Amino acid sequence: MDGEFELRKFVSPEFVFGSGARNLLGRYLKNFAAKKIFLVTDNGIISSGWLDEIIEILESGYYEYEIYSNITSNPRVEEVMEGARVYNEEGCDVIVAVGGGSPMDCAKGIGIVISNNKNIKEFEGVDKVVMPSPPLICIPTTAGSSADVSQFAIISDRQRKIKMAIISKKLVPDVALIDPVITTTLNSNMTVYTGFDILSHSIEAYVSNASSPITDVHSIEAIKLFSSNILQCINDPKNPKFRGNLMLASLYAGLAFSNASLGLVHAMAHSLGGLMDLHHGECNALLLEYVVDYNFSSDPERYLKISKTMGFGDLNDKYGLIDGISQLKIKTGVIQTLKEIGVREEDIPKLVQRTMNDPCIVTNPVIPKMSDVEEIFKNAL
Amino acid sequence: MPFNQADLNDYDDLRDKIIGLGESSIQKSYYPELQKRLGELERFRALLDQSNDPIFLLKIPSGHFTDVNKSASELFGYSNSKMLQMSIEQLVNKEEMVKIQGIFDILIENKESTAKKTFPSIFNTFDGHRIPVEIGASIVNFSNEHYIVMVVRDITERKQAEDKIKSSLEEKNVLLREIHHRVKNNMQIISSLLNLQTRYITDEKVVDILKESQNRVKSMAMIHEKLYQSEGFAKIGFSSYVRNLVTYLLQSYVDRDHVKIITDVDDVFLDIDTAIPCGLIINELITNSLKHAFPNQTKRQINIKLMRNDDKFILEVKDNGIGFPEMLDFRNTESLGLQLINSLVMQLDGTIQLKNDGGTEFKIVIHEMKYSKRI
Repeated sequence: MDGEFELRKFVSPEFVFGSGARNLLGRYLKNFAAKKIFLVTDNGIISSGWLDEIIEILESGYYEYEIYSNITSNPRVEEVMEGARVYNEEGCDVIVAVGGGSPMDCAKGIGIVISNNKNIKEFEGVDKVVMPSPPLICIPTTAGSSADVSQFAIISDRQRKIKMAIISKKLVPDVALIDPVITTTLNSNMTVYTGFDILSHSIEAYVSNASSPITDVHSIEAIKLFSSNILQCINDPKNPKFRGNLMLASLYAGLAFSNASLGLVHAMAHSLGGLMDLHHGECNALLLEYVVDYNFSSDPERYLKISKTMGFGDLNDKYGLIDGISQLKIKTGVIQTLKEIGVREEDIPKLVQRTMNDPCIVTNPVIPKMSDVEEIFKNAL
Repeated sequence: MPFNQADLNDYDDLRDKIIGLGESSIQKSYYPELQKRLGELERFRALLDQSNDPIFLLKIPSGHFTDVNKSASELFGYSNSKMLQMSIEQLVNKEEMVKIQGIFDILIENKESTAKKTFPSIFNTFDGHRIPVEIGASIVNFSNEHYIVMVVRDITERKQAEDKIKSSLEEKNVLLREIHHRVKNNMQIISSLLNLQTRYITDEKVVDILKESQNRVKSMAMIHEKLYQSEGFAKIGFSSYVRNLVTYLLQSYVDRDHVKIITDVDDVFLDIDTAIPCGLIINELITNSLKHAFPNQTKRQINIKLMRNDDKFILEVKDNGIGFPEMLDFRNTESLGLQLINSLVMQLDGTIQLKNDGGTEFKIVIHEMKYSKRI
């Protein structure tokens, strides 16, 4: 393929990035001829006070609204279905999601359930969505998930104890209002977990076998911004510059991974999160360097570029990168192992099997064997 | 010049718009219009669904239903979604389909015109009922494809009402015919009884009186006979009645020498209220002539003439006999016959004139009785 350009598509919503982006909500609601807004959020956002501001915008535009905040940290099938029921019952016509990955993924799920009149489980996999959602406006409150720009939604099925990946261009929201100011109230833990989501998104998109020059720019920029701002941000959480840079990194990473897709870290993290109901960012963080270790040889050049971009240039090899990531985890307080969070050795076969079935695995730079995945899980224990 | 003066004054605003921060700098802006159209569609749908008559949109030539309203699914007992998988063939019998297809073909041939066809048919419901309907069908074109809009009206009630009226009319006819028949029969019996009675009486005068009475009854019976033979039981053809009456009277007075009776009666139809008094008057006048006009005459002749003149009837009964006795005042006599004539003429709001010139001639002008209808 040298010298040739493989076909690549790049899809993104209309997004506005910057301080005060959230205040543009009114004009977008008007553009969607909204009458009654279905406001999807979670209790954390409500208690942070940001929702009051959003409600003020709605009320000043005389919009009716219905708040749906019955959402856990990994949104579940039942929460999506209940949301769709309430949406229909209340006669809403536009969805606004205010929150991190969970409310946004839940809102995306609710949207397609409404327009297709099907159970959310029927959309599991790639391109299973026929009708796009009603107008969906996302206002992210964390720097990490990038659900506000991506074609992914991860919904947890507690019956089967799995996380379903739903991947479809129809899941790309209509509008993202990305306002870093909102993230200044994020606590340190959330900042770190969502931060590692940025890093794993951007690394996996960069080494993805579906990456492109267009996604590469975004991946590299995301890695750079994350690496140079995460520690400062933890130390100075109210600093708008660090917060803004992390939010920007999240946006870059989102644009990259939504179009280049992800890899083994996410396939394993979905499997792990499904079994243990852990925070997605934390799962990524716990697995990241072990997957780098496995993947490195399939595309050393790209991994070395990552290492350099992260500022681990001194020791320019695989171990330099792995060590750098490990050090960063320690500095940010991510010091647990899989075993410490409750994963047992006997869980591994199930985890491996689910990893092999996750759609994220198909864009990993090398398709692993089951034994490879088992080995990685064991290493991470 | 890329920008005009006004724009130069407001570079900031322009810049905002170019980089997408203007109030309407939004990529996709079709939603408000879409919502408006959707609203129109919903209102239109409600309009269709609120119609009592089933409305169908059929694809031509297949006859498949592309759209049906709520009344359609309700009347025929199918769900809306089931209806949309069906075609008109599934709602009608084969022979009806042939008829409907023929009408559709005519519409299709004149597809440019806005012609509309209205015709009756019978549709079948899901549970096998047959519903008489009236169909209004017209052709419409959407993107070069032909459709037929069919408004189907359930005319079950109308049909039932029509049948009811028909059968009640039939009932009334049977009843009336029966009544007239019985009245005629009863009168016939009275007439026969009177006739029988005469055999036991020797007094010629009494026989005469009985005979006259018998003939009066007979003249009325004949009216009823004519009535039950008539089409609407309301009016009788009077000329035929007069001819029959004359024949009967001539036979009745067989002992009289031959009298020639010439009738000239317009082809008029009289209702029973006019016909009976009129018949009685004629009966009396002819009887009078037959009995008294010709004691010795050889060429005996009676002329009966009945003409219609606008809303009046002119009856002339004339004989060439010896003439009405000078000393008698026909308006004031002991004769029952003449008394009867006077009172019947009065009843018919008429006038009576006597001409005594080479015989007796009565000229009576009467009006048709205009009683208000009793049924």
